[in-house]
Amino acid sequence: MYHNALNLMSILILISAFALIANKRQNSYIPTFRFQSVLLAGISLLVSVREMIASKKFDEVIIMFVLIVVFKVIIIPRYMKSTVEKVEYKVEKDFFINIPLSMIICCCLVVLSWYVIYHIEGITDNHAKNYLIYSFSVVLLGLFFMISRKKAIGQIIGFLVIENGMFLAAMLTTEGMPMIVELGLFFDLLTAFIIMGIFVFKINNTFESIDINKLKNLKG
Amino acid sequence: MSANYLTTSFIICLLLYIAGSLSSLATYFKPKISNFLSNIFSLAAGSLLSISMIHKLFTADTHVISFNIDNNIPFINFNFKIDNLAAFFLLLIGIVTSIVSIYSFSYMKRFFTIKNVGVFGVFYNLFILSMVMLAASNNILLFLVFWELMSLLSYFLVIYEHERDEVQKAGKTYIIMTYTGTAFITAAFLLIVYFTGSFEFSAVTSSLIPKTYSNLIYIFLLLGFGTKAGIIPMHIWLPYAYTEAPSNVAAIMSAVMKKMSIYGLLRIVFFILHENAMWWGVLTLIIGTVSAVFGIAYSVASTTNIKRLLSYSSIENMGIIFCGIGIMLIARASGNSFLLSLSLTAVLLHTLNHALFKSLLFMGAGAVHYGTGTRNMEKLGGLIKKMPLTAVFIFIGCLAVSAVPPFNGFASEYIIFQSIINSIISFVPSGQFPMVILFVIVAAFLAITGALVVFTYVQLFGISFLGMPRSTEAQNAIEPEKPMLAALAAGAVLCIVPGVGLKQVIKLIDNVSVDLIDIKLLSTDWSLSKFLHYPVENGSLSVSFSGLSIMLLVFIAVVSLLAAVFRKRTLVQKYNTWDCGFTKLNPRMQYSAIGFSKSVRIIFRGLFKPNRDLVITEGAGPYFIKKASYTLSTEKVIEKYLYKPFILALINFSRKARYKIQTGSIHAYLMYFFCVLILMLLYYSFLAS
Amino acid sequence: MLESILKLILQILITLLIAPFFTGVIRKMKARVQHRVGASVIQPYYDLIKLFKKDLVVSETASWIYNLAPYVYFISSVAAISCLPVVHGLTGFSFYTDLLIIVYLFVAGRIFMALAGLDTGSTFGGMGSSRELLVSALVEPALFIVIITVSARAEVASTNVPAIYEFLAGNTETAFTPMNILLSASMLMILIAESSRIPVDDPSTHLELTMVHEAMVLEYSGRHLAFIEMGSYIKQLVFMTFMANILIPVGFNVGNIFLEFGIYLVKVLVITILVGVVELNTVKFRLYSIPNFVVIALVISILGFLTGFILK
Repeated sequence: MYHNALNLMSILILISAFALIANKRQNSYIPTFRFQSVLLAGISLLVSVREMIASKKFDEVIIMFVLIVVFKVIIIPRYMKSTVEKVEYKVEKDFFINIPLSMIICCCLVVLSWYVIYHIEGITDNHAKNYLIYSFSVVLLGLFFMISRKKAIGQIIGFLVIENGMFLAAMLTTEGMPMIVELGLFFDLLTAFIIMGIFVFKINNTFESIDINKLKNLKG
Repeated sequence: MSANYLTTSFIICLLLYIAGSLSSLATYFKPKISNFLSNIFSLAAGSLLSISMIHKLFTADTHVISFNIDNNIPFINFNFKIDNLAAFFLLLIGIVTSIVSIYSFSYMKRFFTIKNVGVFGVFYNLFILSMVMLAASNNILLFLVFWELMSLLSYFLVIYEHERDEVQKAGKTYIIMTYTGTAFITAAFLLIVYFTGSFEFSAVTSSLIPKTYSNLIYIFLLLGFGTKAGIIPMHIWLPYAYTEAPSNVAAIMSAVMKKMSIYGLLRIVFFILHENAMWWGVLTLIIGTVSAVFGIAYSVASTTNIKRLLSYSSIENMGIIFCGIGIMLIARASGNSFLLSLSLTAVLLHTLNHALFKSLLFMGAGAVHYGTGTRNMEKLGGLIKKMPLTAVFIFIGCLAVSAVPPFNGFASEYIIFQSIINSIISFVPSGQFPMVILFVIVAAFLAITGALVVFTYVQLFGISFLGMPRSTEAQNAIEPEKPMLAALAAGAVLCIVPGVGLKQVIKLIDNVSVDLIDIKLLSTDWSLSKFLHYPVENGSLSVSFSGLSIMLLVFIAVVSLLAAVFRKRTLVQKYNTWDCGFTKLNPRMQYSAIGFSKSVRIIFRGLFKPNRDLVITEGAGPYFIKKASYTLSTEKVIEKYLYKPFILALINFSRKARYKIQTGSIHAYLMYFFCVLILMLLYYSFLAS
Repeated sequence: MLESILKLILQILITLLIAPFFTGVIRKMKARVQHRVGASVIQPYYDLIKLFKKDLVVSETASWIYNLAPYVYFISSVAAISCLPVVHGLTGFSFYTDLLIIVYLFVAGRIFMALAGLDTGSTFGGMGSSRELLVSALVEPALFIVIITVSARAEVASTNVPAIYEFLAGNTETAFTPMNILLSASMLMILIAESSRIPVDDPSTHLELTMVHEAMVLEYSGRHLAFIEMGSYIKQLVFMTFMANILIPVGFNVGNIFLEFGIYLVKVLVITILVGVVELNTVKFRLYSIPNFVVIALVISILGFLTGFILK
């Protein structure tokens, strides 16, 4: 039952990554990302509760749950939304590769991640293998998302999705990394996010658009 | 009937065809009599042929009809042999040509005053005769001779209306492509003869052919027979030739002549190349899938001409048959005898079914042309009221080709999909994942093909038969004469029979496959083998098509009773179609064929490269449009990117060669002779030493 | 034989009875979210009764195809649902209950409806037919892959529904495998597309830019329309039953047939609510964005296949 639920949620995270790539407009990136974070929070809650019931003592993963809810579900999406609202908004094509094709590429990426993980020796637990495949695929999909979008918002969301994928991997295969590592990661993430947010304004001010393709003009 | 009777009836058939052609020629000045004679003879021969072959196949007559005519020509031995495979294809020829002959009684009327019908009769009978001889010949060279004859005679039939430029162009493309194909077949046959040293089909053994050469032979065969079958990318002749040929000829070409390439392929794959590598099957499967998808996509969205639509759809169906052949070869290479048997059944069944429904549809297209004078869907509409019976028969053809249960198209589609599922099942445990993924992709493509077939035939029937007439031609349409209707009716009935009585048809096919692979699909006890065998259980199919038909009939009965109850209480009022409160709708407001298929064109734009051109002439201001014209053109992508560069290069080369080789000086030409002679002498002296 | 016939009749009666209810649930949900009271969940039943009583208006241009189409559509849907028993215990005949036959029965209904759309010579009808055929063509690959995946398991190795049911009844553990989850997600999208719901089609609009299914049946009235509506409800229920019984076989084999039926109803209701949630949270796509939606279904179904057979 426990693994069933984890399977369900991790697959939904993967599907949400697919949904993100199939999204055409940048406004709808944020809700999708939020949905993904909610799922991630759910997984962390599940993992920590189970751990606590099993060992009858406080588990650190619950802190991660709180942090994910606070930052990834509430603060970051809200901040992003205000960022998107502040910079100019035009409905235009935001992707280099058309959507059906990029979906098929993503499908291949999942197969690739399966192939890679299948050939790692030493993972004996079948469930762990599955989770690793999903989370690794989410990381790859996030990277692909960053590559395929023109606007800076896409890069930020892609970065966050990669982050989600890594959290997922850490949570499901190790039942939580040492607290300090996770906090460090989180801090990293936040800093990166804030810097990116500032950059978006700067790019927008300089080029009157957040199309990062225009950064090409900067080279001398 | 013993085998002797069969031999006699076969020879009578041949004589009837010859009599048909001669009598038609002799009476050419009286078109009516000439046409009657030619068709009555081919009808008699065709029905005799089909009766004797059906008898041979059903009684599982293992006796092989074979006879030999001695002659003094080296290599060519007039050796004929009718085994069950040949009998199956002869049956196809017999059924289709006899129906088409009934049809031709009145279809040819429109040529009586303008063309020489006698000549047509000669070629028509000889064309059928050449196919019959082709299927019966047991000698490789004889096979080639009749293959050539068949191609040549069909060429003459295609260019029957040679005054029109399009016909000339179509004929030219056809003859060039078909000879290219024949060249490959010849090369393959020569290789076979070279290694085995024998010209007989049955005496040839594969062990003498080295592996590399048998690979080469198969590729040549695929190219050669694929050209005749119209497999993409060798299909370019087909849409033109079928469109421009008279409809009865198009029906025979599409239903039977194309199938001769399947016959040749099966004959050689099972009687000469007894072993094959896995990649043969994979290659054939991929080519078949590509043909199916491209063919149907072009069919739905690149044309408004009924006959061209049907010819593209023929490409799609051949693609499906080639998929079946691919699965068959894969099964043979991997030693899965159940899958081999199932896919062979699928191939033969779809060959039969396609022959039946496509001949019906081509005859139907001819009837529409006959009744209205146009083949352009944009000018038709509302024909269901003017040509009610034709409409019913064509509708049955459309249902059959769209694989609606319980028509015959569904039966073969079902078995094709079952063999795909079965191949997935058989490849998963052995861990051959690339094959599994290949099959899943093929299944996805065939699924979209099936759905686009529905799109195509709804477009064909809906635009040309339903709604309001779009032109005066359609308004003045007339129902064709009785012989044509009778032929269409026969075709329609034959579309239902193999669907409802699938089990009997598969039993018939089993008698063919026992010749080829020594296994019968139905009477083998598969539960003893290691293979999973879904659609076959205890000597019959697990799905009963006749049962399904009865079930559907019961449902229909119940629902019509129900409807009758409600009908009593309510009134039916006739009124205009809803016109949004404006004036009455007129035919120009209907959806057109171009509009209907637009969405497909846009979504698959890579295949079509559509070009739209909207020219608006404004009147007083932008909202008062005087005139608007909309032009749509699609590009023939394959011809543009594959053939054109090649042809241009060829032309360039010839242009240059003209100055260097073709100098115009007699001395130079003599010089060439001399050089070739010397070289040949040297070659032979080397060979001798 | 007799038992099988009784089971078949029971199956058909049950599905005829429950099919309209789920559409009523979606409508009610939608109304509540939009701060309307909305019609009762059994409104579809009243609508059907009303339509059966009404007189018909038939276009002058229409031919026999137009009059035949509603019945064919209805029969094809009923024949399809008769292949998919709502509970394991109702499994009777097996000679025609094949998943591929279900798909092709829908093809029969679709052909007739699309032709009927063209038959009246109305622009709406032609447009609706063209779009409906396009949507179903795009969905087809995903549907086939789902069917292949559920039937290609070595333990089943059959597309016959009773065989699949038997396997599932013996293996209730398989409910939440990754394969099943992915296939269900794909099937949900197929369901949305095939039963013409938002974001692929809007069932409640009558605006020519957005209609798909509605445009096709625009000319119909009276009992014709009632049969079409009923056919659509049943078609929707076929996909839902496929999802509930084959893809999410939770509580499929509890032993008590009434409890099983209850669980089935709950599962179908959950699926209905999911469809409603999707419908509430999205807007209708442009026609040419539908491929983007459908390709997700396709990719997810392929992933489902891969996880079921290869990525184990």
